[in-house]
Amino acid sequence: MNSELLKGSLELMVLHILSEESDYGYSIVRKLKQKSGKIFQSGEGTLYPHLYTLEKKELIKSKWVCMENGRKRKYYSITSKGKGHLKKQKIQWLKLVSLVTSIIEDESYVLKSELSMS
Amino acid sequence: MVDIQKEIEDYLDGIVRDISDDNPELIEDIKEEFRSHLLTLIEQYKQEGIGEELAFHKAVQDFGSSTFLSRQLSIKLKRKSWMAQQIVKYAFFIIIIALLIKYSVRESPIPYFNIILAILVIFPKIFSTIYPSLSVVTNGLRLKLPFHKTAIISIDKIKAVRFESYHLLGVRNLVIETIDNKKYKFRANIWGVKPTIRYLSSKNKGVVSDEVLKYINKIKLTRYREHRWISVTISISLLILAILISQSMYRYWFIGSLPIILFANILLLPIFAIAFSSTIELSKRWLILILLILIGFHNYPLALIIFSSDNYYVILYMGYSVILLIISASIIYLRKISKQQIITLVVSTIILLLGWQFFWNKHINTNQARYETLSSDEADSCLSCISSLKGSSIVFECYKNPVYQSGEYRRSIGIVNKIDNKYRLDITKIPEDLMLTYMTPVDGEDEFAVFLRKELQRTSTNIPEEFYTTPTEHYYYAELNLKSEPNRLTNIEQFPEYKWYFFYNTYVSKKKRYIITSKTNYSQIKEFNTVVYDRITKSILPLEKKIHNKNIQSARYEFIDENTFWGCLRLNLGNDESGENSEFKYVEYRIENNNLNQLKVKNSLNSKTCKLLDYPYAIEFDKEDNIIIRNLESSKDYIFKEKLCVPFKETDLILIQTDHIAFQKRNDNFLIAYPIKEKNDKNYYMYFYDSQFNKSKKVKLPNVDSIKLPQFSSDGNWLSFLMVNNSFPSRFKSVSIGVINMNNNKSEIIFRYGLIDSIFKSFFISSNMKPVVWSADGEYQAFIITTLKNFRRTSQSVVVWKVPQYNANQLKN
Repeated sequence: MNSELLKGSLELMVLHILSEESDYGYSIVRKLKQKSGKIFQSGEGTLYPHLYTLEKKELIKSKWVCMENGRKRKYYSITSKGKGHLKKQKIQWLKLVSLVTSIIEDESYVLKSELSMS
Repeated sequence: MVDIQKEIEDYLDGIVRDISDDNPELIEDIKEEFRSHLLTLIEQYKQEGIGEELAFHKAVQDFGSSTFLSRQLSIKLKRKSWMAQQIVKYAFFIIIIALLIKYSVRESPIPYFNIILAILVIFPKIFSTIYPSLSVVTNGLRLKLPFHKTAIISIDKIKAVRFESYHLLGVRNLVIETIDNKKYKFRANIWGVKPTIRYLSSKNKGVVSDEVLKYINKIKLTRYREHRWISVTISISLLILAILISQSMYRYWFIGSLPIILFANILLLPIFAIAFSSTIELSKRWLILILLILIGFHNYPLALIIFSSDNYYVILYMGYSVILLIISASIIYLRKISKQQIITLVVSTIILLLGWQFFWNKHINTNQARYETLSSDEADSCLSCISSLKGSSIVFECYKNPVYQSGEYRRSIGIVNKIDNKYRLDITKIPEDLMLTYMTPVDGEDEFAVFLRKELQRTSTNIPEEFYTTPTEHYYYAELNLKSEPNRLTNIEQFPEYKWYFFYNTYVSKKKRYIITSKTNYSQIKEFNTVVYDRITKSILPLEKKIHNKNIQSARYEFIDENTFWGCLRLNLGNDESGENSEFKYVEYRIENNNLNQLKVKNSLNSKTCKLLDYPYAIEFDKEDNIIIRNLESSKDYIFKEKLCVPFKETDLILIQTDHIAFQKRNDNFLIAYPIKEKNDKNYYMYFYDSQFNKSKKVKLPNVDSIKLPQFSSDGNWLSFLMVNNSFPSRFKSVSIGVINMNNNKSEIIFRYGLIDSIFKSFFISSNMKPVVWSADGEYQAFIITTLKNFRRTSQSVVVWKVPQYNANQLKN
C-alpha cells in the first residue's frame, strides 16, 4: 500500500487505537506496524509529532507512568473531544472510501467495455 | 567498548538541537519519551541475540533520521530560524566583518578634480552631445533628466565637481560639493569622462588645448573603492569558508553546495569590480577580456567542485583562486598600466596558471589513469554480467530497448577488446532464449571464444584480428541458463567448427522432492543435427524436506581440476524467504568424467547473507556480524572481528554486503580485503588478511563518502575499489577508483570520473557504477556507469581504464 496514503490517515488510526485503551508510543508503533510494515518507512519516531499535534488539539492527553524497572513511559489516552472527532472522522473516511470505490469500479467497467468492443 | 548511553544522548541531542529552548522541560519530556522508545527497541534486538552496539545502530535506524525527526518536531515546537542560529553561531566572524567594513568602507579622502568644471565650461557643446542630460548655463551647471534632481548652482560657489564612475555593481554618482561643505548628490549615468575627453580631443585635434589634456592626465582616481570591495568580499568569503570548514559541509553537498557557490562567486566580485571600473580606460578595455578569461578559468574548477564535491578539486580550485587574487591585486596596484606591464601581467598569469597545472600534474595528478568511455547504439538500456574472458577481453551482457520504454529488450553480448592500444566495444546479438549468467576460466576447449568469434564474424565487418589469432592459453567455461526449452538452441549449428558445449542446470524436479543437476553435452557438431541436446547426467540429491526453486539461495560451479566439476548450492530450508528464521545447508557435489560420484550436505550458519567463493570457500556472517570465511572441505573457519563498514545515512550502520569483501584464492590459501571504519575516526581503512602467513594489516584510504566493491586484480598485484562522493543534487555523484599496490601497500587514487568529465560528452552521471572487473591479464579494468542522456533517458556506458604504465615499471623494479 502507498505509504503516503497510510501516513495521511495515521491520526485516525492512532485515535482509534487509543479509543480502545491508553497506550504509549512504542506499543502504538508495534500495533500499527503489525497492520502495515510500510507505515513507518521514515522511522518510528515520526509517530511522535503526530501524537503531539493530537495533544495540542486536545484530542488526546498524556501522563507519565513509572515502570518497575525505574523507566518512565508516557501513556496517551483519548479525550471526550477526541472521541467525538474520531466518530466524525470515521464517517468521513467511510464516505470517502465508498466514493472512491464507486468511481474506480465505474471506470474499470468502462475500460472493460472498451476492451471488449475493440 | 562503546558507551551506548552516551551514543543515545548524542542522538537525542541531535533531534532536539534545533528546537527553541524556551521550554527546557518540554525538551526533556520529549527526550525522555524518545529515550524510552529507543531503549525498548535496543532490548528487543538484544533479546534476538544481537550485540549491544549493533542493536543501538539498528534501533536508531528504526527510529529515524535525527534531521528528519527534528524537522517533523517543528510541527509541535517552534524551531529557531536558520538565520538566527547561524548568526549566533558565527557572531565572532560577523563582528570581525562588521569591523572590517566599518574601517574600510568609510568615506576616504578624495582628491578634487577642479579641472572638470573648467572643461565643462570650455567645451559645452561637446558635453551637450555626449551627455544630453548635462548642459552648461551661464555661471552655472544645469542638470537635466534623468537625474533625480535638477539644480542650478552658481559657478562662483562651486569649488569642485567630481565625477565618480563606480563599478558595475555600484552607483555612479555626480557629486557637486560647495564651499560650505554642503553636499549635493545626484544619481546619474555618467562615466568615462576622462577617457571620453581624451578620445574627443584625439578626433578634434586642437580643440582641446595641451594644457587641458595635461590637467586631465593629472586627474587622480582613488584606489580606495577597490580596497573596500576586496575587504568586504574577502571577509564574507572567509565567513562562508569558516562555516564550511567548521561544519564539514563540503562532504554533504545537499547542504554544502550553496555556501561553496556563494564563496566562489563572492571571490569573483573584485574581478568584476576591476573589469567594469572606470579606472581602466577605454583604450585598455580589452583587459576586461583577459579578466573574463580568467573568470572562465576560475569557473572551471568551481564547476568541478560544485558537481563533484571532491577534496581533490577543492585543492585545484584553491590554486586557481590564489592566482586570480594575485593577478587582481596586481592590476589594482598597477593602475596606470603601461604596455610592458600589461605584457608582464599576461605572461605572468599564463606562467602561473601553467605552472600550477604543471605542479598539479606532477605532484598530485600523475596517477590519473588513462580511460575511455565506450558506448554503442546497439546497447543502450542495460549492461550487466560483466566478466573477464581472456587476455585483455572483457565481456558484458547488453540490452537494447529499441522502442523507448516499450518494455521490449533485445539482448546482446558486448566485448571490450584492445586494438592498437585503444579499447573498442563490439556488440553482437545473442539468441533470445539464451541467458548468459556466469563465466569462469577452466581448462578445456575455448568454446566460448569460438562462439563469440563466429557471432562477431557474422554480425560485424571489422573484427579485431587479435581476438582470433591469439594462441589459446586459457580456456573458459560458460554457464548458460536456458530461458526456455533447451532444444530451441538449434541456431548453434550455424558454427561448423563448434565442437562441444556444456550446460549445467540446477533445478528442482516437478515433484519438488529432489534437486536435479543436469549436464547437457553438445558434442561433435557433425552429429549435431541429430543430437540437439542430450541430458547425460542426472544427479539426484535426496533431501529430508520438500524444496522449491526458491529454496536455492546461491550456487557456484567450478572445474577444480581437468576432469572434476564441483558444484555447490546453499539452500534455505525454511519457508521464510527473508531467511529470518530459516535453516541453511550447503549441498556439494562433484562430477568426475560425467559421473556424479560425491555428494555432501553440510550445515551452514543461519545467516541471511552468504556468498559462495572459489572452491572450497564461502563467506558468511555470525550473529555479531563478524565475517566468517568458511572452508567447506574442512571444519576450519576464519572469523574476522574487524567490522565491515558501509556507511548508511547518518549512522555508521554496518550493512551486511558480501560485495564489499574482496576475496582471492592463492593455491591453498586466500587473501581477503574489505573496508573498515573505526569509531571516532573519519578515515576509511582497507583491512587485509593473508591466510598463508596468518597476518593482517590495514591501509589508510582517501577520505570519501563511501568505499565500495573492492576487487583484486587477477595477477594479484592490485586491489581496486570504488569511491563515491555524494553531490548536489543528490543523484549526482562523483566516482573514483582507488588502487592499493599490494607490493608496497600504498593506496592511491588513479582514476576519477566526476560529472565534469561527462559534461563534455553531453551526458550526466546519475547513479552508481555497476560491477568492476579486471581483465584476465590484469592490464586494465572495466566498469559500467549509468548516465542520463539528454536529460531524460538513462543510458549505460562501459568505462575502461588502464593501470598506469609507470606503476607497472615500478612493480617490475
